Amino acid sequence: MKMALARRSPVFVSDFLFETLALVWKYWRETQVLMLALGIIPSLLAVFFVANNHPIQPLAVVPFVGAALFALAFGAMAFAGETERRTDTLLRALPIKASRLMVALSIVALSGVAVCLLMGFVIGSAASWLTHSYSRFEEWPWDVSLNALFWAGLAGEFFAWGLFFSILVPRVIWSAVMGAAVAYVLDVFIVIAFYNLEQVFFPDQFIPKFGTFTWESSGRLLPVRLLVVAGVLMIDAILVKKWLKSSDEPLRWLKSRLLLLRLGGFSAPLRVRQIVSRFSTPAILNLSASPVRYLVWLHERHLGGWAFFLKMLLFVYILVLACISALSTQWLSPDAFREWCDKYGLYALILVPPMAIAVTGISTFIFDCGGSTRNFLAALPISPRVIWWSRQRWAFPWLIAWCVAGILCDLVFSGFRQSIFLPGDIRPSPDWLAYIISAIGWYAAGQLAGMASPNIIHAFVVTWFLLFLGLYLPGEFFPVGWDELWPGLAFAIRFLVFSAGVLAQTMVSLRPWLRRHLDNGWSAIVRSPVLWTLVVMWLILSALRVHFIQGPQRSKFETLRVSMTVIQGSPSAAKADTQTAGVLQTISVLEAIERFDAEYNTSLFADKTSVDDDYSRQLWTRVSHNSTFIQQLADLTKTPYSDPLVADLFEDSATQTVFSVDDKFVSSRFFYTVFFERLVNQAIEHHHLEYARIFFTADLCLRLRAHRTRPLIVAAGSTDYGPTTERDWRAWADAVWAWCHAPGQTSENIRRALREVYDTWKSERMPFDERILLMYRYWHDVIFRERSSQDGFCLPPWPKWAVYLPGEKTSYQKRIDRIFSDWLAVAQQYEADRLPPEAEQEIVDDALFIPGYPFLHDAPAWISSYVYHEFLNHRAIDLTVRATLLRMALRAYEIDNGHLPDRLTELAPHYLLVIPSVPGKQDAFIYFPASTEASARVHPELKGPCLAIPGLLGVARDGWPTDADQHAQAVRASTRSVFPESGVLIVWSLAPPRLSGAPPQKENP
Amino acid sequence: MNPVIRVENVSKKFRKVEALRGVSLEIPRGVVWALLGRNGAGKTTLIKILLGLLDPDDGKAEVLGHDCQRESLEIRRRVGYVPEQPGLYEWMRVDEIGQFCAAFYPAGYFTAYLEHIKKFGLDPQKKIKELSKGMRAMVLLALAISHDPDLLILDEPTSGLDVIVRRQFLESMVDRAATGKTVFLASHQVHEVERVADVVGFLKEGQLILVDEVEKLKREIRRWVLIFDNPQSLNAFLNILTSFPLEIIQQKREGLECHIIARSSGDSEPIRQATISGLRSIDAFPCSLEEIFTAYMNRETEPAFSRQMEEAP
Repeated sequence: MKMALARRSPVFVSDFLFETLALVWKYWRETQVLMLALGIIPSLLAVFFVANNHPIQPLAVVPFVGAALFALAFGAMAFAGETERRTDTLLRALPIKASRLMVALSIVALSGVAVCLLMGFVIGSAASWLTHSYSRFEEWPWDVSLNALFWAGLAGEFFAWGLFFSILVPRVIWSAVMGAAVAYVLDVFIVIAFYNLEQVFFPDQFIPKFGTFTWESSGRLLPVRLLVVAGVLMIDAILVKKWLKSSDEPLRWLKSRLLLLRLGGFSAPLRVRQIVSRFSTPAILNLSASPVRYLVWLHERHLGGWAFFLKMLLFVYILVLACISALSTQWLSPDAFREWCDKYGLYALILVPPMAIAVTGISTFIFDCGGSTRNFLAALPISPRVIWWSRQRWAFPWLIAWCVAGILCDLVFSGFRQSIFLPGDIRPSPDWLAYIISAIGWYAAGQLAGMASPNIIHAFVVTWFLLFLGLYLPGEFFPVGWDELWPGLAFAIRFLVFSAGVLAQTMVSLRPWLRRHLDNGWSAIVRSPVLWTLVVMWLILSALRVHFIQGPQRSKFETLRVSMTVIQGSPSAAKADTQTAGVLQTISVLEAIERFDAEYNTSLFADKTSVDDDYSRQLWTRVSHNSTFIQQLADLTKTPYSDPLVADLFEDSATQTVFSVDDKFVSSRFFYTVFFERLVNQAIEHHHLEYARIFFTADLCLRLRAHRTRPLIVAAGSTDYGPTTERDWRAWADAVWAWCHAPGQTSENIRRALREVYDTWKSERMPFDERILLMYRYWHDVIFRERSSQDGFCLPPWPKWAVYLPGEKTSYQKRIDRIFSDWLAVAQQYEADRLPPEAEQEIVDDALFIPGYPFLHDAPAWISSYVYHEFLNHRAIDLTVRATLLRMALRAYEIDNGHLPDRLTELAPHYLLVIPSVPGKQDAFIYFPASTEASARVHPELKGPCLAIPGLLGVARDGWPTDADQHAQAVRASTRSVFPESGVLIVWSLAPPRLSGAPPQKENP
Repeated sequence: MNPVIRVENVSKKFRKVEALRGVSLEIPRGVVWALLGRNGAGKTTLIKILLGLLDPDDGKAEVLGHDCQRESLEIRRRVGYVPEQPGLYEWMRVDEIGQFCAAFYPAGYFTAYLEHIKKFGLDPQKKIKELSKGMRAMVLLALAISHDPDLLILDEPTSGLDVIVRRQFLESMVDRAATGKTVFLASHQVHEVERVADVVGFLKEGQLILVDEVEKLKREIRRWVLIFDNPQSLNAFLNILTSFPLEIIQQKREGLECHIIARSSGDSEPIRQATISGLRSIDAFPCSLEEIFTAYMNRETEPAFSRQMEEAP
């Protein structure tokens, strides 16, 4: 009594502090390892991402994911962990109050989450600093604070539900899985409900942000989340009080409170249990049954609660799928559904069936490992094969059930996937056979791991390892998709060989396993079949594939190989050195340009380039006095040069240092485009025609090199270097035309320059078919391999950690192959100038031409549209250069004869050996030597002498189409032009250019 | 003086199993009280009810004057408990676990704990996972007694301990009782209990069938061996056996011999004093507690004995 009185005195406060601190200390110590693991792993990932110049989004998310995982694991371990370790009796023997326990748990949970976040941020920042990517965290797509709140709310939910189930169930793994599942489902419903409510009640204010988490991460859901967390924590607190009495007490209490389950004597959980239990095995077996049936029954009964758990999981999974299916059609707005799917559905639900199948495999043997049942089995007068077969029989219903569940899941999501990823009808149909085949792989790996591992977590990790080593890794190194005989053939062979090998291993290992010879002896299990399976997988299978599958495709891929050799040359070290020298020389020119342009104010240029401003004059003075630089420019076209990107595709390590030039090309392109334009005009003004010639030839050379360096227009997309740059090419052509009309210009000079331009164009230009092959190789690598060095700049690669259906990748690859194959044919026709008129329409697929939508980045359609852009770009360059050559020849003719020729054919053979045609076609350029009625009918702008072609799609002139263009279009359409789809006519004027009125200045550079 | 433990008609049922059936008992201060019973007899259930870890379905239990249902926290503060399955935090050191538990008890706990640890010869810096089973039991005992509880409850405390440790452990129980504290011991290791317990209670299938002092039991219960000249005499004797002022606990017939375990009040020997025809010899032997316990536990075998008797010629 005396002691009790002392307890009630003011000392209570210090007691509270003391007891809570002791508990905090205990939980802190217990979760240190978990905290470190969940803090460090995301942080290491962050370092990895940063170091590889990966898109920043995963980096932004990883610390939060770590924190949420910690919250879940910590909550799940809190009480179930005590029960598992049997320390619950000690805890119950102590006079601990539930409230203090809850306070201590909450403190540690909060601290752990904070530690995980901090570690993520600190290490991520350090990584940014080390890699000199200071802006990493500034590039976050979402607002950081709101994002943090969103994740903190989610972590709170995970913690509360993990704790809830930790009190109710005796196993950590169960409580973690159940906690995560309930938190997940509940969160889904919260999101959906509030999304819809807001749309209903505040339709004007509500602006859903499609395809992002913006709406949700804007913090609107945080109060709801916190409310839920608080509610669940309150229930937890009550249950903890019950748990401190006994493990059974919380459930009993909960049952007594859940009136719904007791209405009218209807005991739902019991009823469900009964129904679910009848799925596979009877409660009592007829003992006259065959040994296999007896053993199946025995195993099912032995698993007991675990089997029931698996059944419940299946039941709940199908229920969730049904709910989602209903939601997607009835209640949920399409935007909300899409957002929800983007965030939760696809990445979590599709994961469940393969995981469950792996767990089924693990469950076949693992529960005999620790106990005495293995002795019992070994003592039975039955062949080990019968035991092995009985376990497979036990697992069959599970495999089938989960495969069906997985297919159902795919069906539910197929509509969504079709709408998001792939437009039209090009989405591959669900590859159900592949699903089943992969399920067998998961099952087999799980079984072997379960046989060899001491506990289920261990077994799960080993399963992943086996699958990674035996299935996915060979798949990555010897990618599927070249086999067009049957999509996914290599996939199926790989999985089946692996599964057969691993299952054979389990059969062989069963006898020693029963005799416990395999305990603690991994070497014993890594014998024969697995080893052979791996050998087959890694060596023989790939060799066979090359021989049998790649063989029929030889011609196509031989072309690829040869073309790549043409592009790259022999990938020898010596060659690489030469290339390096050429590339380095080009870099030095670019650097010099940057130095000259250092004072340039970028805000001045863009659309207002004035070639005779002060800056241009200063630039001219500085450049023209630098004879070394002029010499460098003159030598540029003679420099041996190979694309660093191409080299990189072949020899990763050898050319890594050179690769950075790629970025330099693209970034500095802004500068030298205007740079040379200014210089050419200044040189003409100053009567330095020789210098002007050097400038525009070097300009052409650098432009072509920059163009071929990057085979992806997507890079162009982010640097404005794409079809739109046709305008820049026009500027180059105009500069050349101005040079041709410079005072004192001679026919000889022009013809010499013409030859030089032609040679430069021929040597620096990459044929379009080669370019397609290069792009194919590049895309293949970017999408299907971890080529991180380009990822920051190019498209998002095939999401590595995204979940996709088995076989989908193959279909995706096949689709890409087909696109490139079609384009290769087009490119070859283009290069031979035999592009049929209707080809243009065929290759323009409006359905595919939807730039700007990020979700399309994962679709093959995206590739198609970019290849199409690339084609336009390529053609624009060819067209400009060919027209320029013609104009130069025409000008030379004009100087010699005093007038323009009547027909272009008069230029051959004295001025041009062959008259260039429109690129890709046999059509000649339209030539008007003087203003005629005929020309005016075609287009009102065709007044003076000019060179023209009917408009080509995507090749536009500044400011067009105008009303005049519309008129011209209407005229052409009425006369059934060969290009009815084109609304643009390309015109090059043959009238003398307007030069600046500045008086010529005699200067001797 | 108020009893340390008072249990009145306590019953507890787990689904279809009746773990306790109307158990009543009172335990005075300063004794070593042993609860004996077979596995599954309900010993642990009773202990859990006493500690407030389980609520009885029926009846009332008080420990140190506190109601077990409502004041379990106070009870746990004043009671030391050594559970049947010792679960300790493996990652803690011996001294750390004492420090952790000290937070929940009045000042002085940790000092006392260290003294006990020293007395048991344990290294405070050792991790729990490095300790043997016996050492862990010692740690548990030290944790249970460091706040000098008025009542120490031990649930199968000696299972798994070696002989030396077991002896040391049990002796410490006697020492505690000598200082006026109460020890409540649940076990099925009868021979050990015999050495230390003052009072024993036999729990059989949830019912407390006997509560008495050990010495008194040993004094009053004897094993009688009677040898007869012929079966007729033996049968005649068995027919009149119930007329003796004895509590027959067990009787067994082997040929012409009859073995009886019976309890008589005080030192009286009613069988020896009676005249039995055809009796060749009669001997009385003192019973060990184990024999007594076994006899009480097997008391239901009587019908089998009767059948055997009926079959005899």
